[in-house]
Amino acid sequence: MLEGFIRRLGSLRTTAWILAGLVIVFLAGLIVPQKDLIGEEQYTIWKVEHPDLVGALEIFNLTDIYASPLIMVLWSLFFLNLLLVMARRLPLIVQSCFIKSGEQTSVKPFKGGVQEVVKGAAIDDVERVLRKRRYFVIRSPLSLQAVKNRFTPLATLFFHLSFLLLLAGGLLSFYSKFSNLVHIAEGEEFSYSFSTRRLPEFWGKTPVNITVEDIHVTYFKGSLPIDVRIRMKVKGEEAVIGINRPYRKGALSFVIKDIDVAPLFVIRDKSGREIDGAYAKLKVINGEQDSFRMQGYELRVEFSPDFINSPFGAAKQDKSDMDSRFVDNNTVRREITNPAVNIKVFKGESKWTKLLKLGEAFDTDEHSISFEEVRLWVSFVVVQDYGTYVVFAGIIMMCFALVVRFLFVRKEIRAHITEEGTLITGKGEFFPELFKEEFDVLLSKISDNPSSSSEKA
Amino acid sequence: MLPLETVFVWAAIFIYSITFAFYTYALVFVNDWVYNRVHYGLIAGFVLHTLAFGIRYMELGNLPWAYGYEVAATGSWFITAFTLYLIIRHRQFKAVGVVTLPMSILFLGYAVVIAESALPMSAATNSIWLIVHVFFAWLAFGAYVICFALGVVYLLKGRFPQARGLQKFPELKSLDEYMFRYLVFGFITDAVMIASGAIWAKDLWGNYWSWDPVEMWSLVTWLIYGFSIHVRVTFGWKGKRMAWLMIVALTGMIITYFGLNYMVEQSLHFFEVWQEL
Repeated sequence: MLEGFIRRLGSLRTTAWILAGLVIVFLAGLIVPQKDLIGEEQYTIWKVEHPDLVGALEIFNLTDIYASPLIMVLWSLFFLNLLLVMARRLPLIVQSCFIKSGEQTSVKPFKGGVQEVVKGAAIDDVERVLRKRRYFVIRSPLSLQAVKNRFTPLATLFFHLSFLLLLAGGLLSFYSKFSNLVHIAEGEEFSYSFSTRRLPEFWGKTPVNITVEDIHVTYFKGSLPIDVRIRMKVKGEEAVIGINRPYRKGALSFVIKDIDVAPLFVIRDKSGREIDGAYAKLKVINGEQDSFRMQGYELRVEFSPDFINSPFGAAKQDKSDMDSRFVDNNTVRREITNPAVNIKVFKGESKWTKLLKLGEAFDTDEHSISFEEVRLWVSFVVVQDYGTYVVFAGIIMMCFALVVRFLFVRKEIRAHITEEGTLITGKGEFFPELFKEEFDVLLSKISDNPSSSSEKA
Repeated sequence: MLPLETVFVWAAIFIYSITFAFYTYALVFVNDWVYNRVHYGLIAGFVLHTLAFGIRYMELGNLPWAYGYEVAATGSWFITAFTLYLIIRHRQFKAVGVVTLPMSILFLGYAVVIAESALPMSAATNSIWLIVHVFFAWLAFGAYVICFALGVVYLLKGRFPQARGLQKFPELKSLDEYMFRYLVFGFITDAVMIASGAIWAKDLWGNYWSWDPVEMWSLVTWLIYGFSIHVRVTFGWKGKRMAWLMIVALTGMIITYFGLNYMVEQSLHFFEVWQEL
């Protein structure tokens, strides 16, 4: 019974069913909103609006389908089936790569192949033509067998092996990956050791030490950011990185996620003595409002990179109005040329509103608040993933195996002497019509008869 | 779109439409004189279409790799390119243009409708991997569209074997094999597209796979076509079953490339020039 179960589990029919099951589950995951993809907030809103529907979907894990027991079972079956199929087919594939030599006086035509009797052609002629076309030939006095691309079927194994590599890489990523966001302004140093691994820390915590020295953004006509260069030091090593050009050291990488402005606000007392100052890392460059606290004040800030040519909030309007993205229209400027902040300050019952250009200050009841400098800050995704290279190896192996398998298809030719002439029969994998064309060319070379056409066996 | 580019795009749509009309006329009324010359219209439209891209390149410095209009216009270009390749390489498949040309017109028309200002590529799309990823994506798309077209023709010819217009198409055996050839080509290029996307994603987002809707739909589409190859190779599915599979499978591709813009609000793949970076 166990044998029967293993045989059924390792059958190609089971493969087809599992593939179909995976497709159905993935499709379900794309139709039903997924908790991880839409975010906690959106999910909660949806749940509150449709409690019965979401409750029903949650019972079957449909709102977290990619991590559900169902998909785990399907993936387990997939890889189990893969292993069983490969174990069963490997000896057959290896065997098919080697032709048995021996005397052949009769040759059966291939099922679904082509055949032709060529008068006046000797076996030697056939062999000569086939060898020229890089066939591997085994001769007997009155017959021959020839194979082209005989090792190609091994590519099928490599293709399927690549899935196992992808699985191994995926598991390694899942259990060893460390990922976090780091926000650093120009001139700032950041040091920390942290980990989000799911297994006990075999590798220990990963220390991170970064100093961002300079951030430079290139704009197209002052409006559209088209390049970023960040000069930084990582563990004392100089590096220049950009979008699509992350810093990499082994499995560790720093990827730029976001760039925004960090205006310097300084609070002074009435005598002019500096009490506090900070580069506030704000998310304001696209026209949003952000806030922070300093010395008991709450500061709500809007930022304009060029307040002379772009009103406050122009970038935000631009974001929602797809038709207004005209480069020649100077209402949306993002290059920082004339920076200003629209600032609302709250302390207790008091409130102040002021537009400050760079270098300006305004007075509250007890202090003055000045806007003295603008720096940029960058948000990095710091990732350490040991599974990446295994996954990439699997991907490359898969692509290579696919190309080899279908570009260099296996072709077989047999020939033997009959009373009528030399009977030549052949078959190619996957593309019979294509093989028929090649067979006709072979025949014409053998018989020097261009009008010779083959007959289906 | 740029002004001169607009002229060439509209001219291409016009020529494609006229060509399609002549194709239909030639097949329905079995007019060999028209049929033997109809591909010149296709070539003329294709040249105009290519010139439109050339103008865009001269102005912006990049080929149309990203954003709504560019995606749709490039899709149309690749459909026409594959059709021309099939016609030039295998004359007996000339009539397949009557199925692929409407799709080309549809995509180019859609591109014109959603066209926005001509803008350079944003920092996020400024990568050699974008070119590799998008190029192979379009190769896969073009190949799958040909599979779809051959599937439609196969079913029609199988259903109406005596129809005069359908006699221009090759025999069913040939249609079936070419369907499989283009399926294999599409599958391989699709795999390279996904692979290059994963490598690029690692550089751009820090993850080679983010379970993003576009990534998921690409994988689903690839699995569907992989399933098609599987059932053909292992269970000998051919002919009608294969034709139906190719017709249904294209919906996955259409959803991945175009439909998700309307179905999903957020995706890492929605690159907009104005976004943070």
